[in-house]
Amino acid sequence: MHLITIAWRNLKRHGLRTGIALLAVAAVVLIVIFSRGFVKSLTESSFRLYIDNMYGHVRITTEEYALREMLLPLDHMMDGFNSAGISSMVEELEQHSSVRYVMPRVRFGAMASRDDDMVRMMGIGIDVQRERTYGALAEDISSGRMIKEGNEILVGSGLMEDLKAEVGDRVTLVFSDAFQSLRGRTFQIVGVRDSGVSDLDNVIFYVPLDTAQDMLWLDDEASELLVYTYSTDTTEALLADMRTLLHEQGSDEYLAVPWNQANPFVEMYSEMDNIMFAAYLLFVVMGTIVVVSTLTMIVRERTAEIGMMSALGLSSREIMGVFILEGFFIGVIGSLIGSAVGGLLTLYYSQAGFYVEAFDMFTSEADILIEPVFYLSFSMENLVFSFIMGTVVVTLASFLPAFKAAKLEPVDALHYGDD
Amino acid sequence: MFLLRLAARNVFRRRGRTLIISSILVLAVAMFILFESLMVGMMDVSFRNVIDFEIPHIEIARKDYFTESEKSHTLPIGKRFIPEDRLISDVQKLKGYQAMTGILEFSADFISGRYEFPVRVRAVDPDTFNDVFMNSQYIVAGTFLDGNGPGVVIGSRLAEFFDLDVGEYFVMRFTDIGGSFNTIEGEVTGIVTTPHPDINLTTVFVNREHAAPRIGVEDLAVTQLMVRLEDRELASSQSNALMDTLGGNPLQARSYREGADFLVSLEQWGYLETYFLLALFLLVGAIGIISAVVLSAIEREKEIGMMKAMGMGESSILRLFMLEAGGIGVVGGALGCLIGAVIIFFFNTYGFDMDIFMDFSEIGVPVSGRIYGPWNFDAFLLIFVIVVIVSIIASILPALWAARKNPIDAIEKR
Amino acid sequence: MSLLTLEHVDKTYGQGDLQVHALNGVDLTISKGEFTTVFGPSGSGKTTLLNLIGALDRPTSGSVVFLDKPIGSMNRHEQAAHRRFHVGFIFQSYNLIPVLTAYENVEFALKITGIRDSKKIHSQVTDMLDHVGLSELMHRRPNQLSGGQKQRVAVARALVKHPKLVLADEPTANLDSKTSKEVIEVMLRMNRELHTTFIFSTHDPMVMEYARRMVEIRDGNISQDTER
Repeated sequence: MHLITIAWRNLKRHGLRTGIALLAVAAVVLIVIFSRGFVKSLTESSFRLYIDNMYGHVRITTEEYALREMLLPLDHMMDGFNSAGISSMVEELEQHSSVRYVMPRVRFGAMASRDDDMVRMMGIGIDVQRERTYGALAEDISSGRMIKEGNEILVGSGLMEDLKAEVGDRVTLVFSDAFQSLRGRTFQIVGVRDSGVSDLDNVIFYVPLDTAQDMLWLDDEASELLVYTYSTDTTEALLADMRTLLHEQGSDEYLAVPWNQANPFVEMYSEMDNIMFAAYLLFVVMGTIVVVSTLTMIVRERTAEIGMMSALGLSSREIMGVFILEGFFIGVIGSLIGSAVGGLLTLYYSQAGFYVEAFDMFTSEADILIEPVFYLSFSMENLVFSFIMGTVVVTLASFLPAFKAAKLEPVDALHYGDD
Repeated sequence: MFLLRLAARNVFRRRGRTLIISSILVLAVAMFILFESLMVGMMDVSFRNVIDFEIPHIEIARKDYFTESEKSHTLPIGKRFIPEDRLISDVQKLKGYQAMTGILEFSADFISGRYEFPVRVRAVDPDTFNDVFMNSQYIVAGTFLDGNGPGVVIGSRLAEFFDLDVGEYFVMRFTDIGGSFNTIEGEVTGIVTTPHPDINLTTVFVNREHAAPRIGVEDLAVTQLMVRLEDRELASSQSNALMDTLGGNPLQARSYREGADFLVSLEQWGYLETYFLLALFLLVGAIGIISAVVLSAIEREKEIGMMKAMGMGESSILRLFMLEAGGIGVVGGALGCLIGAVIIFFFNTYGFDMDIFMDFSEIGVPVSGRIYGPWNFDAFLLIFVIVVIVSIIASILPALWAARKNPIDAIEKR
Repeated sequence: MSLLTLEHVDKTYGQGDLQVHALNGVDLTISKGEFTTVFGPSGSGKTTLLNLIGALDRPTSGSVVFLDKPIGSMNRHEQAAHRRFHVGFIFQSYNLIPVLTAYENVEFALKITGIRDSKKIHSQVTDMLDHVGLSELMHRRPNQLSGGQKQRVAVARALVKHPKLVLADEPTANLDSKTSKEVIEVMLRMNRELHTTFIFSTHDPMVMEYARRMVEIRDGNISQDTER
């Protein structure tokens, strides 16, 4: 107990010096919180887009379809377990406790001609009832309404511009059906979807699933099933369930892929946290260097005092204890300040967001689903993680000067006067 | 001068602290040099791939071709032109001119079996094309265009998707100049795998002689005239020079950079990231410098008090501390540059396999395989100067604090 | 002829109830060429008095005049300039600059006065080190010198710029009696040869013996002032 008092008073003795060590720790903890909040929000919002729009938590397709997906083929459809139809398969999947809901979709290529120009697009046949109840689609409708039935389509905002159309207009689309014959059909645009992501908004339109099946000469079939569970964290369990189920049903030609393995970009980003850990550690170590040099000076300055303490019979472990405690205090208080400021900052920017122009240019050109405005993700986990990281690294680092102090011989230490 | 000597000795006196604090700067410098080189190396490979396989140093086309091809889904074959002799001789007179080739580019659907896929067709003259582009050197099956028949060459990724091999049958459907559907059909004569991933998927090469009549354009018509120069550095200046000679001509010349806005914005984003990281590193470095000055001032309180008692001015003491901080900056900068140089040496000699990091081709960056970090001495100089300046600036406040301390307090403190 | 005059000098530290009156209406005149000791129990105001005389501090009231210049009412920068040219200091704990050699420590005092002529600097510094008997050791750093040698460097440093006044605050407190004697004798010789005015404080009766004038301070006032 008396060691704590000594350590504490010593820190107060040179307020400025202690203050700067605290500032260093606080700054690096703040940097860690900021970066983690940034990476997390970047990946989370991007992941959410991928999950909501492309992959579900687990996506089920045929193996052949996954291979040639880019060509938007119509001949590797899923027709359900034992060819009993996709609707019954969807219902069967939804019986499972780990499944929240399932979205069957049909994806196909289509074109429309506008002033000598062929506008290429991707149509997605959607289960209107399900998408309306669960999906992210309905939230992004910027004008008009969600499609209901028949020849109604919901069009991405960018595509809308290319088509030079308005809500209520009729457009004729050309597409190949499942038998490779070129066909045309006229649709009415009933709504516009504006997700803020150009990759989605510029090429995609949505049509009711049964209309898509009808126009493409498909039976009760779908190109993919997006399976959703209750939370991203339980994806693994869902995946295991789905694989078991597919196997039990003898549908080994079906492939279940979790969202974080569906796309190399997503894959890389989901591993980002591990790579970044090294960077965070590097920053904390940099800040710790300041603490170490402060403690080293304190040890040198108090050489005589240390000699006196050891002459009084304090063991070298206790002397080490004093200095480690001082490092620990700096670590705790500095990390606390950093976490507090970082918490406020991430909380603010999780609401307000900030915009980086170069990034906007980058995302609009790259095939990545990311919104160009950055938000910081606020989470207690982040604050606690960074706090612990700061405290632990600083405390460990203070062993070095503490060891130096403990090594001092009492005689030398007492005689260490002026130069 | 004697202040400088005094500062140098003080930096040296606390070798340990100088090293510890400057190690923060060393980290900052080495990291910056590595990042910068990694980025420049990556951009270098990307741009080289663009130049060798997609758009060479200068691309000449009608102004309306550029604008329309950017905003529309279909390449505007109608915006073609026939290169005049005057233009050709102007181009040949450009500094560093090496070769030129005309290209007729149009959109089509590549159909084989039950699949179809939208592609960009490049109708080329094999002789001159091979002087400008490197595609023919990357043929993995069959032959590159030899001037006979349609001679279709596709990329390996497209071949994979369609499960196509040399000699197998395909159809390309497109809208001809009259607005009706037309096709080019035949057998695949060659498959290429270039280091530019996009070319391997979306671009199909055919003989222009064969394609021009089918699309309904004049024999000599091209959409773009592609020019290869000796050196990438010449591209901007020569494309501007060409623009000047073109005058009121409806044609426009642009360099490879203008054609690759995605890469340019990626480059900007990369720089932004690098400098943001550098700023964070330097922030921590600055705190380190502040701490070093304060520690030194506390430790030397009596010495400073003595100097003041002897009548040394506050501004001299301020300068002394700033010089000492600058000294730590110099040590950190120099050590950092040294370590950076070692890293770059290995990076430059052995390269870095980008594929273990991620498949960049999937997001449309034309990079694959190993990249090598170039030596960029400007980066070394820049970071060294920045580190020294940041050190000196960071020291101003604590040095001012140290210089203004009362000499009596300092001397009497035991 | 008077070098320095203090009139009704008060010095108070702190504020309100915590006020400490270090000096109370001190009047003192110092003439050129004096070799004077200021003594008294600790806390009597000795050091405060020396600080005021050395223009290290300003009085709360009263005037300190050095050769017609009111040094008591100068600002920080003017005081620094005054000390630079006219006052040399010698301290109990030497206060040499540890990174400089004996020669450089002495040179330092000259350089801050703005002298650039390196020949002149060199001859003055070597002369002075010769005077204090340190020619042999002039390239050693402070940590390679004994206490007496260090204090002799400090004396040389204080005198090299030929100041009108040298202030020494307990110059022999850290030295044994033999070395103390050596140092005080060096000071006395300088006083005779260069006619520099010396004021020093001390507790040591042996050192006090050398003084030609003895000023005793008690409770912030001069209680005794004797000349011999």
